[in-house]
Amino acid sequence: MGPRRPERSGGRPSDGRRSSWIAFASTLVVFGLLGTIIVNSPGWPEIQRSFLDAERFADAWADVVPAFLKNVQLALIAEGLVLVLALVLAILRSLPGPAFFPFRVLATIYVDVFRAVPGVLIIFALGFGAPALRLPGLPNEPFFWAIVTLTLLYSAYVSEVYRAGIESVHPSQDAAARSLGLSRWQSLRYVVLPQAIRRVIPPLLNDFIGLQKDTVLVSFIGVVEIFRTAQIKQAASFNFTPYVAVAVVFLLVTIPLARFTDWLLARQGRRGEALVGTSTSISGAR
Amino acid sequence: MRSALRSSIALLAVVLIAGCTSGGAAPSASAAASASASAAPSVAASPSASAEACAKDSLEVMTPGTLTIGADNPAFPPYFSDDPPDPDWEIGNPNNGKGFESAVAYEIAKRLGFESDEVTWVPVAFNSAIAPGDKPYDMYLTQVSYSDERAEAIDLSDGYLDQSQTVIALADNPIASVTSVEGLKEFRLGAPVGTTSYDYIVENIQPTTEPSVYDTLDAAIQALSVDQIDGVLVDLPTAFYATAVQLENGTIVGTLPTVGEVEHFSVALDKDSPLTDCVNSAIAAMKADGTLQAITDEWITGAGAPELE
Repeated sequence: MGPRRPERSGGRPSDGRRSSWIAFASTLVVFGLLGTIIVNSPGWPEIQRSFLDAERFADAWADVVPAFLKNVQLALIAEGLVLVLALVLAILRSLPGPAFFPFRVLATIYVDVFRAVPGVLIIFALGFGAPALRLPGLPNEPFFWAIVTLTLLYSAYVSEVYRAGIESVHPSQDAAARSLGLSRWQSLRYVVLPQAIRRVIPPLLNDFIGLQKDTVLVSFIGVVEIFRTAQIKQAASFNFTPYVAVAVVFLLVTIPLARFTDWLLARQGRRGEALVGTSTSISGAR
Repeated sequence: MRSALRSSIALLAVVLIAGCTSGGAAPSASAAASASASAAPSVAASPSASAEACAKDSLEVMTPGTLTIGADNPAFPPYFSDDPPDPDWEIGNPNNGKGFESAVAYEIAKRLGFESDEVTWVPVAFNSAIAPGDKPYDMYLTQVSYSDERAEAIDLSDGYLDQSQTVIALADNPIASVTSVEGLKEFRLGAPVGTTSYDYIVENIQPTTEPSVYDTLDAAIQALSVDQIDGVLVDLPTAFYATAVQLENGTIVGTLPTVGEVEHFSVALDKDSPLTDCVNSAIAAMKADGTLQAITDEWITGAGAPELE
């Protein structure tokens, strides 16, 4: 960042205007330079032809947008399940005392395993492997197993977020609640969790952005969703523009969510209650 | 060195015979031409190669009087058969005239004027058969698919088998008893991505359940084996391979009617081989008189790949 200036509170009014001009000019120069280098590179016409074909984009767009509904369904169902399972895991890991040791161990193993193994391996193992067990009563639909995969995978991450939230609540809060006669469970339910969850909403949203993108994993076990739809088009035309269309769809959905997360974080920051460490905000100091 | 000498002698002979035939003066040459014409009457049907050029004695083969044919070893069914086997060949034995490609090869040889005992088989790896360079055979049959790229390196004949779209399934799935394209509509179908099989499902079968698409054939077959889909569309040679090797309890439901252009198997020959035109006329004649269809019926359809209507 360079030498710090106390600009926010102490700067003159003209400072703000001047710095926006500098920002504008610098942005223009940097982006202009990048653009010029790319457009004048020897491979640019080829890139333009194979990645940025307007006609193919429009054609792909008409197909990938309806296909995206499958990803949205998948994301929403999995998110609901993740919120519940992850909270259970986090509470299990936060249980004090020697009697709960095996639960803590189980929850820790679970979190370690599902954070370590790549999602694509889990989707193959569950999507193709679990139905091979031929357990009665379990569906073998790829869609079902995709939801299971995403839920298991993201519960591991989200439980860590919850746990960080729970541990960020000062122990004196719990002690105070217990001294008022609340049981351990009541203290958790009415004192600790409400504060914890409130603090972790922004990092939770970050994980859900990740989950939303990982819904394309379902394509590996045969479901024709947004990515596979684009891939089919790509394979038929040897042109990569359909993938760009997919990227644009994800950008359109994800950027507002990311900005909303930033806004929540900033608001919490003003209130001094955010867990900024888990944020991936790109907006920097404000 | 020796092969160069041999081929220059053969070339000389061809030039001489061609010269004499066009002159029409030498009685021996015209006799040879008419004899070969009667030995292979169907050759006349082809416009691309004259009967004289494809007469047995004027053919530029590696060993005079013998047609040397290459095949990959092991030679797999249903293209080759082990009935009876040969110690030099694994799995299938090309020498017995049984199996689809063995039968086609002997039929082509017959039409070029070579009797069964005038055919010799040599084992040649597939990759060296499709690579440029000197070939140890006159022609080669081992499921060589035609492609323009390959045709730059070697000569490829007209097709002798279309790689039709084929449905494979588990033998105990109800789809196994389907006999028509219409009958496939109600089933859950799948295909590997980037193949014409997926297009075929969407455009020609139009099933009521949205088809599934997989990264690889292996993934599609895994989905088939855990009953996530009822049938997988692949090309015919893949269908034979998958049901024989990959898929336990697998069966070929049937081949689908050809729509548009399909890939086909070609006889592979050395680049600019003098035999290519003659092999093409032999294949054309086999198509014209139904011999090729009969061989296909016996070894492909008979091997469990019925045609769906």
